[in-house]
Amino acid sequence: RIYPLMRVTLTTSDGASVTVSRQLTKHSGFIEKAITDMAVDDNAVPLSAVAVDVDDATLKLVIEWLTEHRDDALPYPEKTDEERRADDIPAWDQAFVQKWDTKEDQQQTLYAVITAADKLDIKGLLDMTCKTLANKINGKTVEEMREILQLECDFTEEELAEIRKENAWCEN
Amino acid sequence: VDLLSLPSIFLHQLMRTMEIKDRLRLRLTCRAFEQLVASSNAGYFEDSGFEVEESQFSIDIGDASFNRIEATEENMETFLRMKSRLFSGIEVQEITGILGDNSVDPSFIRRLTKRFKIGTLYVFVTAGSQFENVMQLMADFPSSKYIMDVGFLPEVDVLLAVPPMEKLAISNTNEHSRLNMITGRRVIRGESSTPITADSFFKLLDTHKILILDYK
Repeated sequence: RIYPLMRVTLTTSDGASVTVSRQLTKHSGFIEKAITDMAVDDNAVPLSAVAVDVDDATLKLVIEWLTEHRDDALPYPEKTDEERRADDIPAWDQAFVQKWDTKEDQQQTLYAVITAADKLDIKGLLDMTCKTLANKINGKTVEEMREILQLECDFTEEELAEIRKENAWCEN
Repeated sequence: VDLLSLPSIFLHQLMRTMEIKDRLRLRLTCRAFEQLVASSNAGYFEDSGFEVEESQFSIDIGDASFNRIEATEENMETFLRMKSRLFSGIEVQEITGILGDNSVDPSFIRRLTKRFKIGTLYVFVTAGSQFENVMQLMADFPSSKYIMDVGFLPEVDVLLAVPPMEKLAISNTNEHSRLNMITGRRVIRGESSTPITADSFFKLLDTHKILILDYK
């Protein structure tokens, strides 16, 4: 049972404190477990602060996403046969990610949010960021993939030729 | 932070959304991604297929088609090695297999479908020599549903040993145009030396959900 008005203080890895409603934190498996581990009565307020291994800037983005998704059903739906789909990102989420595109370090922001979603165990956010990254690389050439994912080719020419030879069996 | 330092659970989830052609290209990006492609599950696909006839094999996996590859020992081993580097597992709702008259090593298809999770295995058999291979293939997927379309009338005792099917169709009256992907030739059919008795017929009817017997 979640009390929407109950608030939880989160302390970030860079020393900031943010107080949020449990209506938001209920979507985080990590925070909910931390609260459960405190073994306090649900009516006991205020709760002790929960330390999260996420920096303040990233946590703000996570909270922004959680605020939009505060009414999403829980538990997060199990993966179904349609899990391959990456084209079903809600419009608000797409706009949310598009905002990062104006930043120089958009890829780093995306990676930071992915890491935060994993650490805080927020399945919906992890799922959305996964689809976002998948959409960035789907159908791209090898060179484009390297550029988008910021990967350095460390194959020898011989190794590349061998893989290309195998891949050549696949018809375009 | 670089991509490859992201949580493993995320990277494997990401790989489950990739199409097969994307996986082929990702193999070429760098060693770490080549490893990730090989060690990750390819996820779910609605359908796939394979065909082996005479000295060629063709395989469809998701959006990728590998067509008319000469079934030399070297090619088959190279293909199987490549497949093993393309995913660690894959789920296919329905896989359609076409086995015509061929001299390809029967273990090839079983090795090809290793690490597959198959919802329905739909097999067209046009040559009696392949019947036993199909039975072995089905035995590899005990939890799958089976559909079999046989282009000849097998011996009755062989027919009665067929595991329960969603549909068993035996026909030598249709052209089975789907069978001719590689050669475009008409299908070669065998004949049973013994007719199906009423008793055998009712046993088959009792075993299979749908039974179609349509031969002359």
